[in-house]
Amino acid sequence: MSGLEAGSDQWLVRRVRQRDEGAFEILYGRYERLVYTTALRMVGGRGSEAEDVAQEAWLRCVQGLHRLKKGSAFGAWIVGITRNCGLERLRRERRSLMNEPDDGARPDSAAERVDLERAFEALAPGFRTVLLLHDLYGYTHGEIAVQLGIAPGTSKSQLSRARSRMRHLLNGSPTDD
Amino acid sequence: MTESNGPIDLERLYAEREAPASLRDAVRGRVFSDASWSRRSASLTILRAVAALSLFVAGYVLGGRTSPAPIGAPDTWVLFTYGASSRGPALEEERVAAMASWIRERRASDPSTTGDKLAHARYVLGTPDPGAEGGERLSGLFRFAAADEDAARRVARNHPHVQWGGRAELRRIEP
Repeated sequence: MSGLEAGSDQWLVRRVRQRDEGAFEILYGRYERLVYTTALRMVGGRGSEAEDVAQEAWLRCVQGLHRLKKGSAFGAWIVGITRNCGLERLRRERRSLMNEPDDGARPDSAAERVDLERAFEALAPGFRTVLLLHDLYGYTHGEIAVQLGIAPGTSKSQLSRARSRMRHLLNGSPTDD
Repeated sequence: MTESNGPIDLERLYAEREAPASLRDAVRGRVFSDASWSRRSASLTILRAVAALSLFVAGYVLGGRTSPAPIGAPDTWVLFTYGASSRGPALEEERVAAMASWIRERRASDPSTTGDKLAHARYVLGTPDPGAEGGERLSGLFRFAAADEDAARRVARNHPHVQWGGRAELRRIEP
């Protein structure tokens, strides 16, 4: 293991601030999967879009590294950046967020049992995003409403229907709504 | 909403997906070609050059030493150890344990510290053989960070091999 590889995140961050390419490569290696997974979640599993989001996140990370406070966890910070990049992308595609099918799922979603990823991807984008932000990332309905430009009540109803639809797809159980 | 409609566990969602290899190249391309990267590099280079020149002039005027002084991040240094030291534990295992302990202690303040003991066998490439004169063989190498030569010397002086009177050479890695 080289000295750089043995370095803490904070030490690598200091090196990257000084534009040390080797340090960036190591930092990237440590967090590439986490960033990519976060990006995939934000875009509903679409690989090429997730790559775009991940690229943007890494670029913003380097540009804004001087804003990372001393002692802050780099991992949590870059995940937050990735989430914001994903949200911005969703806001740009706001038309698709507003035009949800009434049942919260795409028409070809069968009642058969499917795995978590397929069930998630079967949800319409707006439902998916609300579910993700609330159940995985802990956003409140008020925060979701601000991020997505919708009413808090809409966030609540979309969450309820998204959960119900997910359970229906995962377990074959009847929906609540 | 019924109780059965509680939160969905999404922790596993895409958790097993590997990032495509092409993503690394794309990220490198965007980051290293970004203006902020090169601008900062250029400004740092200029800053270093100005600082080095200032220190050189100051040192020259004062008649002191003219070795470059530390700027910003510490430099990386390598301590090469040669042969076996005349003092210290007789057992090889105890010597190795002492050096491993030195590395662990260093890492508390400098995570970049590493060390390796070299195997006795060596394979000479090219001629002449630099070790043909019967000098002591390179036996280990240790990397660490230090702000300047004085700091690096202090670190090296505490290395077990040096403490036991062994021969060692300290070199700075060109940044």
